[in-house]
Amino acid sequence: MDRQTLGQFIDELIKKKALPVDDTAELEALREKEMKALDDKVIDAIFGRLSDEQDAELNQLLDKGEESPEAFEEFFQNAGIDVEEIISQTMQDFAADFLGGENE
Amino acid sequence: MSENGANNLKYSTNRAETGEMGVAERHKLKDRGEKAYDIAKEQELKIQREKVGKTIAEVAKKLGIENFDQNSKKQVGEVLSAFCKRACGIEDFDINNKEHRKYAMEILDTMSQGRNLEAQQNQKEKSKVDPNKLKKSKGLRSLFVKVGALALATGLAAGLFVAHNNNKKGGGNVPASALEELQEDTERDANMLEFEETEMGIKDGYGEKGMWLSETKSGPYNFASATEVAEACNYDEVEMVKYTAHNQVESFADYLANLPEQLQPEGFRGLSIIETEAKLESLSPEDYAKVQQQFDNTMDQAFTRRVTLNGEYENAYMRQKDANGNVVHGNMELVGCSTNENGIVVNEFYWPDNQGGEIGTMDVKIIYGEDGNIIDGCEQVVNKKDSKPGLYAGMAIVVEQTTPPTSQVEQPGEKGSPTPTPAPTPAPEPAPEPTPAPEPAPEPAPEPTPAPEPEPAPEPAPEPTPAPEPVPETPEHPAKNEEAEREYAGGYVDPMQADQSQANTEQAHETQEAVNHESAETQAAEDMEAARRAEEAAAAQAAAEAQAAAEAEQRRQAEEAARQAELAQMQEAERQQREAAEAEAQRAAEEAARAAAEQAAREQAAADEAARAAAAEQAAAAEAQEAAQAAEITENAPGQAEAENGTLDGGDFADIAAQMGL
Repeated sequence: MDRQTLGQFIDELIKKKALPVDDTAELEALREKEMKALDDKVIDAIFGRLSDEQDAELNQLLDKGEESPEAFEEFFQNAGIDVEEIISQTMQDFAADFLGGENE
Repeated sequence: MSENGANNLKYSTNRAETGEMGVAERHKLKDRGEKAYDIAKEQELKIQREKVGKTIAEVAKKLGIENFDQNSKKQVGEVLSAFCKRACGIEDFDINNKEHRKYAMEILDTMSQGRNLEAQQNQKEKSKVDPNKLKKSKGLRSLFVKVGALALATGLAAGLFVAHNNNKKGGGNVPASALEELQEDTERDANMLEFEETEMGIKDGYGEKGMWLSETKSGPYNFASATEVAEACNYDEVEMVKYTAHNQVESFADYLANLPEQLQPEGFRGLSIIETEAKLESLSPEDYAKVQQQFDNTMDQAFTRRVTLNGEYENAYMRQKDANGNVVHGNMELVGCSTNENGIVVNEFYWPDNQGGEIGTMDVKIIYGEDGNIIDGCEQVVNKKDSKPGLYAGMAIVVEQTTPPTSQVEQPGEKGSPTPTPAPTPAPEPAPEPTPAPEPAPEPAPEPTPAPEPEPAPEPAPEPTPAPEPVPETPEHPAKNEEAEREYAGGYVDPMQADQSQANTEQAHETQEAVNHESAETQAAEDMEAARRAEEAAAAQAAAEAQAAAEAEQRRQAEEAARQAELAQMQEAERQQREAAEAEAQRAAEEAARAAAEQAAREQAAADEAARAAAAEQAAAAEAQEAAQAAEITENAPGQAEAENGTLDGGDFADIAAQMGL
């Protein structure tokens, strides 16, 4: 995912969690850490579902230097993977984990 | 209680039992004295213990530790230490090392939040697509930008990004009116988030369960009621001390100052209790929290055992400076006291070292009965009198006498022969305080001295002591003052008491200003003393390190010399061995040569003998031939007939020879 979306999402969560973090550097480090964690989760959630054949097909697209998002959209559709749904679910799970300590 | 109130309580109790209740909400209920507060507190502790216990059990399993008992503090400590060594990859992992602990906590934090690195790694390995390729692909990035933004916008609009528990809000059979009231309270409680903020930094927790304001406390100056604190902390002595330190900075100072010096946080080593308190007060909330965490970690490493006290001991207590003032940290002061202990059994914390010994101990007055259960205690640290003279410097000293409880007196197997002492008689406090510690201005002359020692409640026979009895008209027993009980900073203030509270507050401020002025000067002197002590300690440390380095060098040189000597010895032995072998070879060669010469001589002799024999034989053969020739000549000689007829003798031959003319 892109940094803008990741950052916006993480900022929203940090605001909700009301963490007792005053130091700007510490807050920024936390933000970066959580952004990377979410990005990794999204990648795992989407690409971890691909079969070996689908992996190979995707590699071909990538090696070809395909620049059209439609080509990838079609690939995922053919693979039966709803990328938007997966990203949304991953973000929901991430939020639940992150905010889960709110009542302690 | 109104129907509305009953519904509220039921709802709150339900939330408390399921662990959904937050800190602010809990405090609100506590102020209203509702049962849901107690349930929530217990539930919070239970959840924390379960979570920690589960995590540690999982770690033990991964480390291959069988029959792990999460109630065994020793096993838990061993698991954590082993885990940290493996997880951090630090062979000499030291729980007291700040950097090691920080690194270990980061890893544990990652594990506990479910972001298991191993699971992520396994999941990544499933896809054979190179992540770098994914990131470099423009087409893929464009797709994800579009889809990601859409997912975020949709999720935000639908309120999907929430914690698990919040999803239950508003559900179930909660009456609408109760829910509305709770929502109003929640909005007002937004201002009470200061409770959560005060978790970092000094916390005025004097009203928490079992703490200084507890009515079950057996002495007005006691830190706490140990029985009540034990209930709050599941009878875990380590948790009891941590809990008390979290709620009362005076207690925290007492515990910190009494830790074995090696375990004290940097900057606190060798300080008196008063100095420790001043140091804590000078920290920022973040630094205070760090010191608190370090203390908690140190206590988590402690083991416990029972010890029996006999003789005179020193304690640190605390009391309000202004008895009519609020029960807040600013109005509290630490005082010292000596008590006569006679056979009570208390808790001792100890920290083992790596050589089978102990780093140090700390005795805390959590008192046990015959059956080993906690029966009472003030939770103060006790030290044998004069064993740590600097520790109580700067404190006002209260003269005390104590009567050991009758049940304690009759305990079998205790050291010494405990004898009942008479009930304490109120002794007047010495009028001129010997220490520079600031005193509150309105100090009544005769101060009934309480007995701080625990006396079990069901003992009507002993003479009633003034200490445990509430004396509302006496300013020296502020714990029993109902106004003071409710008015403490950071908490709920009953508006009905606001006016009185305001007057009290103003008086307290005036007193406080006078006190602060005096204490500022005292503080400066104490700071200089502390700095001087710190310098001396640093110099001693440097000298010790230099000494250790010199000794290590000496040892190294001795070892090197020994190694050289051993090498020379080995070389000498080899040389001798070599020479012996050469001599042996020489001797063998000579022996062989001699044997060969003898053999040759023998052979030669034999050859000579053979030659001689051959010559003799030849000579004999020649003689025989001559004889044969001689015999042939005389064959036809005259003697022949006689020879043929008879025998010839010598005379015959002579005749023959004559006849032949010979």
